[in-house]
Amino acid sequence: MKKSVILSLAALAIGTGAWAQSIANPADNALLEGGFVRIGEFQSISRNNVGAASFLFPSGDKLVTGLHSSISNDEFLGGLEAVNSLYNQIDYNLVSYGWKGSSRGFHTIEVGVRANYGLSVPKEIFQILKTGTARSPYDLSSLRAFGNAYGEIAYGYSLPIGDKFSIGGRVKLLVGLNSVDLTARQFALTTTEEQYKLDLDADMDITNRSKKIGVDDAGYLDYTSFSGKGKLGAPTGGGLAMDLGLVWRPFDGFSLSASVLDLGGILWYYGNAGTSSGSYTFEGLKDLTTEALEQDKIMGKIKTVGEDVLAVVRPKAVDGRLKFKAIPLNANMKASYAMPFWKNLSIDASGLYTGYSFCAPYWEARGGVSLDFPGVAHLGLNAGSGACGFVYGVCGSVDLLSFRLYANFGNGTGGVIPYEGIPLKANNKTLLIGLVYLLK
Amino acid sequence: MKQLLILITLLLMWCCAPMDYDISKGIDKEMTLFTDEVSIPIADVGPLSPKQLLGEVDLGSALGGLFKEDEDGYLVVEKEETIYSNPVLLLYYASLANPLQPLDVNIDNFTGYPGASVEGPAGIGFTPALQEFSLYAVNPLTEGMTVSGKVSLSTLSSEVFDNVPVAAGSQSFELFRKELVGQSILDVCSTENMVLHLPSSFLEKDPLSGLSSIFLGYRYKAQLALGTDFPESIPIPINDLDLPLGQYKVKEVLLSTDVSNEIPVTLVLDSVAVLVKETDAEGNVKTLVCDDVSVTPGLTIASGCSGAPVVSPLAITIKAGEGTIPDIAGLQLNLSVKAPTGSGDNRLNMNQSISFNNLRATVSGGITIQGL
Repeated sequence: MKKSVILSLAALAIGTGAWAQSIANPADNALLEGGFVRIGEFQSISRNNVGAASFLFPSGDKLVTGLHSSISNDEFLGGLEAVNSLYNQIDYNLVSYGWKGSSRGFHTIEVGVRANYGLSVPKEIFQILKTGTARSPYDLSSLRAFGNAYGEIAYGYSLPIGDKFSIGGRVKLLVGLNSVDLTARQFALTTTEEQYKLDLDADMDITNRSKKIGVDDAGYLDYTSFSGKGKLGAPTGGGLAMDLGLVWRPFDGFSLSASVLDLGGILWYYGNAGTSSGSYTFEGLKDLTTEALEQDKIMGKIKTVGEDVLAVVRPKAVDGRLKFKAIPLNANMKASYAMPFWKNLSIDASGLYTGYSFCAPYWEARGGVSLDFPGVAHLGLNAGSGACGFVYGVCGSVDLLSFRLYANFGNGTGGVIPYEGIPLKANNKTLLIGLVYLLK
Repeated sequence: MKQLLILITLLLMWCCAPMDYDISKGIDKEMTLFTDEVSIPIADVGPLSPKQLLGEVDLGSALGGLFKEDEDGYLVVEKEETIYSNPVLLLYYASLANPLQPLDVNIDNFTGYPGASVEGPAGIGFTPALQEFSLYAVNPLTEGMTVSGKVSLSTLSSEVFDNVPVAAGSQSFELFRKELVGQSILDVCSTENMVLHLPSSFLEKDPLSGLSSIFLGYRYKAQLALGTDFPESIPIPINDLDLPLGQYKVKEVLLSTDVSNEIPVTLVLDSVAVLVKETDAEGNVKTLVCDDVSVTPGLTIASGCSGAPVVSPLAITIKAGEGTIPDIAGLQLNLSVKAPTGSGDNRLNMNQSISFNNLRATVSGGITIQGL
């Protein structure tokens, strides 16, 4: 009886394909009897809390931007978030190997690479452009751009504890490849009739895995000159992360899974480091006396203003610096219940929270149904709501000989720009596809 | 079945990809920015002085010699006339009759018209603010001489002086000086019973002085102010502006500044007409006054004076009536230049300045551009 329960639960876990994912709860592997070799797994995540429809509007047979006169202030600005974010993540699991140990535990080794990049733009920037400067002061410090690429080598171990519990964990060695981060501690713009005042305190950090950005005579980073040769393979950061998971099966057919993934971060060494810091106040062109009232002299004064602004905005080179950046942290919880009248059918409920160190967090909650035919196929459908609105998902797997091909697609509603695929509304789009070879 | 699949596919495409968002049809890149209002600090202009504005232009020539600028920058008219001049050598001959006695030289009564020099500027609205009259003597001798007599300035002033010593070698010894503030033009001056008292044997003590002259004269200078009868309205056409504002579709612009004026002149911008170009049916381009654009009339810059500028806040609204502000071909300004209103020093000085501080623009209703 005990074995049959374990086998049925293992079949459930395998059937959902959850164990096959490198980003899944590590405890899901605890009940596996055989091993596996995963040959590539690709995942992309695209999250944007505003869509193209917030910036483009149909007008007649054309599209106009939100800044067009036919679009009211409320129509444009009302569709924007306080911070408008675009986030993309690509994970590629090169190879994974899992095997049953001599004791009851299950071991995994995984090697992969990950990259993420994104941009956050505060609503105030569009507000200034659309309505003007009457609502000063403006806090633009949420303006941010970033990109990170790192490798991951993970060892995982999972263990059943009695009939009802499984626990698991992974330890990940993170190897920083490249990172770019533009972040502002202070970016304030005050506009009055008398003056425009800019207060800026921002860092620009770029790792110098390959080349170092030059520095001009005034000490500013000079993007037109580089020194050094390519040093492909040399890491520019290192770190650790861990995954922790728990599966609880209080009674036959029901399981509750909880996990915290990617708890950790990377200590990056930013060899190309710059700081933009200072204040600049523009009170109009000064000293326009008779001698200065000539076109070339006025242009000279305007140029000086530009140079003064640049002196604040341009990053001044500083010594290379170490910065710890947490990688995106995922917290998952999922409950699954197999119908007593037909064990192949189950209903699911899940929740996800992703915390970022560089943009607003993402969360969602879904409910769904799954059809599992162990050793043949699995199909799951789910839907719910989250930080980017309505989400739905389809996941499935097909077994053929000892291979299993699995895929997971999630998306939101609201449509896309024809032929472009750019979402019109806030959206969370995920795609996962992988191939695993099951060892008997 | 096939038709059904096609129908379902089309339906899904329609649901997922609204065709009214098809960017392949193009995006209208016209943008109207700052639709509520945007305020832009522009500049502090000045201080601007007439001297700086005129640059190298010679004021005397520019104004037909009516007045000129003195060494301190004041606008002045000056006049200098000789009352008496005689070579020492000739006087010496007159003294030979009684060479050991001092010589008294009687000077003919004299009448001068210093105010005649002001009549030109007065004719175009200037008035003397400060008049300076001085009677002076030149004594080339190596000994002092004395002067006696009477000088009268119209009915305003007169002075009798008796044996006023003029030091040896004086090039311009001031016998009499009078300043007239805020009074009418000094039209007549006269001297009566003027006598030069020369020492005895003056040429023998300095034979070379015989080549020089003993001299008596007057100098007159009037520093000018703007009179109340200055021609009020001056039309100022600006024909070659050609501001291409039409493309920006601006509805209203408010130009504000604090004018700091130390020129003792009150300036009133009575009206500003906006000129636009129109092409008629025959292709002829004409410049017309645009009735649809209004500019705030009646702006006044108060008069100040040297060292005590008066600040006038100024706000000029340029507003389109029905549409937006068109391309501006030029402006027709009507400027009134009026006498100062204050009670201070009203003298006009080429170094007095006017400053336009905190010049700023507020654009309401947006600025349209054709794409960023």
